[in-house]
Amino acid sequence: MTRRSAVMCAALLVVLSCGCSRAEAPARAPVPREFEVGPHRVRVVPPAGWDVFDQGLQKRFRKREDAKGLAEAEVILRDLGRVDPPLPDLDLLADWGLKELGHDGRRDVKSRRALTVNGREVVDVETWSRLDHTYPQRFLFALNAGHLLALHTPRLADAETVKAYETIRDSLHFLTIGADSGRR
Amino acid sequence: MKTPPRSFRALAGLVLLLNACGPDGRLAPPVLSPPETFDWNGQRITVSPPPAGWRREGETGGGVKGARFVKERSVGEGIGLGDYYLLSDRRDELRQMLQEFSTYDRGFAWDRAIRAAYAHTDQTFTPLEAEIAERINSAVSSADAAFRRSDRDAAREFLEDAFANADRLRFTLADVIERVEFKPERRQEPHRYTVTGRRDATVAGEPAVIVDYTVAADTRTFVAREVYFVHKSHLFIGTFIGLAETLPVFDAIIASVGFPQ
Repeated sequence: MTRRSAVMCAALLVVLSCGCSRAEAPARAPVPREFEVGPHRVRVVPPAGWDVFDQGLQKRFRKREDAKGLAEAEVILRDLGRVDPPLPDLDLLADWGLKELGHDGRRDVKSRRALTVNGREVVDVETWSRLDHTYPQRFLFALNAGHLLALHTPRLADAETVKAYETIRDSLHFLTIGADSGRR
Repeated sequence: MKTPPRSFRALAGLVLLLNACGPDGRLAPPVLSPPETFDWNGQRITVSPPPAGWRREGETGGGVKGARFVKERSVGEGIGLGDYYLLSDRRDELRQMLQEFSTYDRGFAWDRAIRAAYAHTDQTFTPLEAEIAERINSAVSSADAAFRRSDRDAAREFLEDAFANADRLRFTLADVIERVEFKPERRQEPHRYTVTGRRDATVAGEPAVIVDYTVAADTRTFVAREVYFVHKSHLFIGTFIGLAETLPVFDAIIASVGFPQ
């Protein structure tokens, strides 16, 4: 065997072994991650293939970037601050949260529904453009330790973004519950 | 690709036509999307939008806030429906200001709300509207002045006075139709427009007026239709421009209009 063919054989073996190990490797299970979002400590499963950016009071989950580096799909988990004075129900909390996130007369609430996530009552809101009912966006509001935690899609909630939003929402797990928590 | 024989094409056309017909042999009405409730300017309206294949846009021109549906891969066909907002109805704005009064400080929110509370006075439809608009604006102006000198009680009372005046405002279709109805002379190049019909109608139980006309564009002549109806002093205008065979879609949309309680 010449030196050249020996090198070729070795390279082939390396390639084959890589291919085999990849083929035999089990599919990677989604890995839950813990985040501190202001006073909230939560665990969520980031959507597969999405990047996570920790920006202190907010965590950005992003997928796809266009040529200008602008994110095309994004979900944000953020603290909206202390609800003071406390609001008596979820609908008022949602109204307050929407206002904090810039909801105004240009958009309408398409639907809002109460959900239980991790044993906690939350409200899931869908909004759309007031004029033509396009450009849907999603918002989840949860009261935790007297602060309002929001999960939302800052831009168009297309199918991929909604899937990511629901993945994060459904995996949301509160790790600490303050004395004045939102449990009811 | 080889063209199918003429007999085959005729048969295919017949099948398509039969599919489009109802059991009684008449053309079946167009299938629309599920109904949606819009709130363009303080009056909720339920309507079934066109089916897939029509693109949506927001419409804010011509004094109308509403939705426009543009047929994709067509020749420029469009359907619009909206609420004419240049009326002096300020009940919603004033009601909201009164509800949120305790939240206002000397900031942007108050400035924005007070600007929206002034009534249009430049082209009023009726003497009553002119009188009410003047009273609303006087009270709103006084409310703003009181608020700026930190007299919140007086500001609130002036807003309540403005709301009481706004609540007196009533419009009927007869009050507004003359001003908004389609007339070729109100358009640029009026020679391109020909009115072909005008009739009274009913939309969602309210009196309505329908005007038909044609538009001679450079390449073809379009069919156009406008419908006007008033519900609780809100004037709604529906518009269609396109091909004659698409007109039933517009008619079905207008027939689907309702006003939720």
